[in-house]
Amino acid sequence: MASTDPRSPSGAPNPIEPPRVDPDPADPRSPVAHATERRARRAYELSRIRRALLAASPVLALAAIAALVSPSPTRVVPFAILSFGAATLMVWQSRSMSRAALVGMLAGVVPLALSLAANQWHACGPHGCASHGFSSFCAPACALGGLVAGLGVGVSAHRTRASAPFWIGASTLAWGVGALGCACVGAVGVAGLAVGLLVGVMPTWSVRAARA
Amino acid sequence: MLVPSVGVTLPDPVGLPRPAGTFEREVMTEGPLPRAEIDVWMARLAAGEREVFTLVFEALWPRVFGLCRATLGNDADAADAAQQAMMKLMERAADYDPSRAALPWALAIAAWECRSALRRRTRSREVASSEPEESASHSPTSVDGARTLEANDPESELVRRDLVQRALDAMNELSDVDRATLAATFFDEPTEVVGATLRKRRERAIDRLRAAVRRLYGLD
Repeated sequence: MASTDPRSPSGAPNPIEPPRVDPDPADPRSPVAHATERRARRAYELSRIRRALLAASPVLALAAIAALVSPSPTRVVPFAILSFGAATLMVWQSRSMSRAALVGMLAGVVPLALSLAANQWHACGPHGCASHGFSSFCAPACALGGLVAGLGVGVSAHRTRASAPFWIGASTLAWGVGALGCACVGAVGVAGLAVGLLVGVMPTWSVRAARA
Repeated sequence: MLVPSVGVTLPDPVGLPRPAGTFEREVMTEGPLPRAEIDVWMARLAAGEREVFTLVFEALWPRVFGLCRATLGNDADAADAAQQAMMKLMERAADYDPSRAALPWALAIAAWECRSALRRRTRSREVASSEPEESASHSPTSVDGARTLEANDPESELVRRDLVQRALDAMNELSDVDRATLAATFFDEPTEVVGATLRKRRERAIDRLRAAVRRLYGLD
């Protein structure tokens, strides 16, 4: 019975076997092309991450301002990390989410500015907001800021007929940036901001849901 | 036009003269893929849709590799240059302007990489061709016995001295900046500039040195 082993009995390559031809490197399925694709993909992702970190850096600037103005800078830190991480992730992910990050950042500046302004007027008490709990002015400032931010996010998303991730991403970032200022009011300030944001987003979201 | 920007005469596989721009046309229209499709994929990739990465890569790789192969003349150098080009392309994918055609944009980046590789190769050949002369003249204990004998030969020594004298004469035609740049390049002398500025100065100094040799002796 004939052997199907391509090698000769001595183990040497069969002389009648055709020599193996390396694929043309220009072929996208060649080993060179495969290795290049892996490296190119890594280069693509690294480049996007670098851009995302750069694009998200304004959040750090806002956090620095908030920490300088706020009577309790340590409360700003977790929200700064959260906002910076969210913004980086969104910009890295896609162009539409980059737009959501921009909208969220801009919308978040409203409650941030309102809460910091309220704090500057000593509405939160001379020894910082935390020591006096929330005053009659600070928490409403956060809620009002959240409402305006929510309306901004809603209108922007509605105009561009954005998808659900856009709404969620922009709202989350607006909340994170706003919380940089509202953190000094405490949990009530941050919760007030969230409620205001939800109320602001709700009308345009309802219209979208009704159309869908 | 890509061909003139690459700065080389593209080889013809059958040795027949080809009309200008033939290769460019072939690269631009290679395969059955319509250009508009690449534009759409590239725009999607720029927007962050990773699903089209492989499609874009597979559409561009043969064209980029073909351009590098035609520019550099061998597969090994072409693979290196094409790899660099693809990495640059993907790094800059987010910059891609969807209103422009993707293929010329990609091939312009690839052509730049190929040209850089060609320049690097030319430079390394120049350095390699000058090394044997140096090693023969500076190291009497060279492993290459024939070369050592040649260096010790009085006639060769005279020729060498004549060449050195001619090189020095040509160097005297250059400005102080050019001389300092060449000294920094070939003798590791310290220099006040580094990086791209040094590279540009080096290229210009070498060009002027060539011109001086040509002017003085009528040869390169």
